[in-house]
Amino acid sequence: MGEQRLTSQVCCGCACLCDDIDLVVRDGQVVEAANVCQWGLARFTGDKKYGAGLPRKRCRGPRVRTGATSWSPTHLEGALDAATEILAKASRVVVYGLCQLSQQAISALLDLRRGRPTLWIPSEGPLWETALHIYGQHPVPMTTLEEVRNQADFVLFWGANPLRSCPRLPARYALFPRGRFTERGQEDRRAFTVDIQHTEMERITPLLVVRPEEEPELVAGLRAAWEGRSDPRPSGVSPKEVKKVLQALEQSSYRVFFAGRGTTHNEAGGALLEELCSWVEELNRQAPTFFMPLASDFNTLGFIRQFVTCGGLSRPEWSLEGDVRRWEPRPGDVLLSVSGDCFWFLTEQQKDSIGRLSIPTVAVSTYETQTTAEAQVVMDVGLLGIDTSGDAVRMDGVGVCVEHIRTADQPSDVEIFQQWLRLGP
Amino acid sequence: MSKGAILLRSGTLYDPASGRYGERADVVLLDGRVADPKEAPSVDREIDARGFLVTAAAMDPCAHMAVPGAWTLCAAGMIPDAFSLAERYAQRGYGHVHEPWAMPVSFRTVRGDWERIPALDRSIGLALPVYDLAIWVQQKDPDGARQALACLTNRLQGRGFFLPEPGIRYRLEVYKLKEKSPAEALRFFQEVLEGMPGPLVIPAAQMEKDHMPGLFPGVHLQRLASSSDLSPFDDVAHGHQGPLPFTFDLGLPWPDPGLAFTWTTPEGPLGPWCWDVGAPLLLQAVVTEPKDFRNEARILSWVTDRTIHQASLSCQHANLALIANWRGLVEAVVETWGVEGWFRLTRLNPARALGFQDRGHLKPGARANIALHPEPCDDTPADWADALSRCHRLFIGGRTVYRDDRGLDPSRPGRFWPQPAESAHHADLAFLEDGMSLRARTIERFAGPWKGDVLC
Repeated sequence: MGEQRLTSQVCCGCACLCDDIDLVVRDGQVVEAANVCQWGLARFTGDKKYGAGLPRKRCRGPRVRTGATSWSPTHLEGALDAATEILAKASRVVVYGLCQLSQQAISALLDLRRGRPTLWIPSEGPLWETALHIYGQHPVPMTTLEEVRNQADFVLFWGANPLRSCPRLPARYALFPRGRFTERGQEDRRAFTVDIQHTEMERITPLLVVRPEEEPELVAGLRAAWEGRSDPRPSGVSPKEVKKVLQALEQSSYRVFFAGRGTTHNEAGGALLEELCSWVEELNRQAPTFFMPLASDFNTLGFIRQFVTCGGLSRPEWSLEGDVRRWEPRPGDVLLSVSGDCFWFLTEQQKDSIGRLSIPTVAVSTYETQTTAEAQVVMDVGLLGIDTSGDAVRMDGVGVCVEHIRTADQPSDVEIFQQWLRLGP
Repeated sequence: MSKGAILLRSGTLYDPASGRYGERADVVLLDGRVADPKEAPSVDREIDARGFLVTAAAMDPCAHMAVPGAWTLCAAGMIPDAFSLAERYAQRGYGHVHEPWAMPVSFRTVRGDWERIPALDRSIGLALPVYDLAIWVQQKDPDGARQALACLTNRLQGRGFFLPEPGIRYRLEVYKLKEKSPAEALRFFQEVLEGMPGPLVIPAAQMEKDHMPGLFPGVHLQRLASSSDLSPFDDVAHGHQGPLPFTFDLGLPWPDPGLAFTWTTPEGPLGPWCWDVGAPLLLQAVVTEPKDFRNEARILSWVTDRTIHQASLSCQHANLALIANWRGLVEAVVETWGVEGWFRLTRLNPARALGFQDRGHLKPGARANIALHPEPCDDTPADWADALSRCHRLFIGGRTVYRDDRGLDPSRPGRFWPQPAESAHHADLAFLEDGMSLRARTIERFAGPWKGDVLC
């Protein structure tokens, strides 16, 4: 097969979808990678995300469970037939994952479930479900990451740790790079992080640590101080820190608020995001201010956009659940886990219910996971950007075309769903 | 006549391009085009068009439907889905919708949204932050800029170029030296855009008296009625012999609840931050103000028998499909500018403004985008409004895509215009890397067909 040098490849490690990855591929394996973060490297080399050099076990191939611990290997058609049979008996299909599929696959999957009772649980659900509801009241504008790099002189990360969720975001767009109007890079930007715990972000930005229950109050307090309605003494953080934030805000001309998963980790998450969006709307009247929910899974916004624009929110047979832990398994449910490890996130109680109610699981996965171990039917799928090609949507709504770097035996996600679509319900 | 030819027999033609108003005649559709009946010896299918007006399908020259972030408006229930929008257009006899701007970075996404719109013809204009052309602007090298823009529009299939304001202005002090006056900038763009498809689109609200001498045929001013002061345009109209050196669309205020996409907020302009610095994503959705254009003397006095030859119909709303009281609007326009005015404003003029020679009229060779409306009972604005607000049958490219008794046929894909070109290579797009940080290869990949969205 020899050696190939590939430039400007897209990395599907996170929702930044960096398109400047240069690779050397030898015999189908990536042996060198430039411009790539630790996560991206692990994806390209097939290693574990946080275990550099530790290979991640690829899914063994399509198979159907024949007993408690026994499996029968089959071909894709056989697995699809078995899965179709299971789904045909379902009174409701619970689809989990979704945010690591290509746009084409999401499209086919939505088609597959059109007109049939389905509970959609995107893996990045908690933040986005809340954000979707809030957009109804505060349709705050979004900007592109390029504009953030070129113009943003005030960046606030709230409940977000981009070093963990989108590792190249600070380096490529939000914090360090020189932009057209931020020529001195970090010196031209003021950045802050608000979180409920100490994170690595405090090494690169001032970190305001606040108790979870005080977060909405902090936004309200910042807002009141900004509007001159009160002294800058919101609860939880020192007035000095608050003053610094407000001062930077006042001096800024292009502001971006990044909200992370942390904002929805407690009961007050909805109120917090609503207060933040409302403030952003207010600030936008004075200078451009944007609200950007951070996504870790690379095609989170792709799923959300497609779901919303095809009328998913208003379809009576469909419902959207943000948090998989809120799913209450009921008789007649079938779990379809697509490119996500659902069982990893389920509570013990949910797992018990699944066992007690004999809820069958169909897994479409690239890797061996807890879910594939529990599933009745497993289908292996190629990895987007490595084995297969497709489209994805970046966290800011920019559509990106992802190309494969090697020929693989595994089918693509879209091939699986389109074939499934042809088989019928 | 070749196989597949359709004869629309004895319809009542309304076609400003050929000056036929109410003439009973046959129209032949052949291979997606209007054909000359005399040169067509046989007919494959005949449709009795007696009792129907036969017109070219209308065009919306300024239809914002899929700007970046519009999905949040869908989530909020403020914009209907693609099928409903397309059906509304079809019910009104519209066969072509044009989005005036999409930036390269969001072009693929916008196009994806537009490709979900079934049945209708569509086209998209390109908006490029002018700083991406800064090298050529500084070196006064229109050829270089033309090559770059041609390459980009070819690959992305863009039509026309959107300039947020007539000058080239930068926000920061450090860039002051690069700024160009409107006269200088417009001259530059006149040279750059020569021979390229589509117009140079500038928001009319950004035009001031000093900018008028820079106008040239090929400039299209967007939403004229949004200008607070129309007197500069008056001066041009009065001081100029022959056709105006620009086209425009009206952006009429209309007392109908809806959405406008705007650069500014109602509370205060964001202008100083908007222009040239590539911040078009600041475009925001605001609820339209309840105003009736018939009460706006400045608009009525400006759109005269002479200027109407350059005018196209658009409203302050994001697109014409968002207008609920369409019948009322048609009646108001017919009452104000007559039936001929209506057909000019909705057919011939927008097609000319966008540089589409093959539509907006019924001459042989025109693309067979045809709308059949019932004939009005009487020659009153109210009767015309009844007739023109309900299309009986809509042909796109010679195929029926809508019938009033069956609705829109979603299986008929519309056509994206222009067709893909293969002339450019991603190396030619390298100039974008600096401004956009996306790799040229990524931009080049944008040119591929977007199949990522579901047609629910």
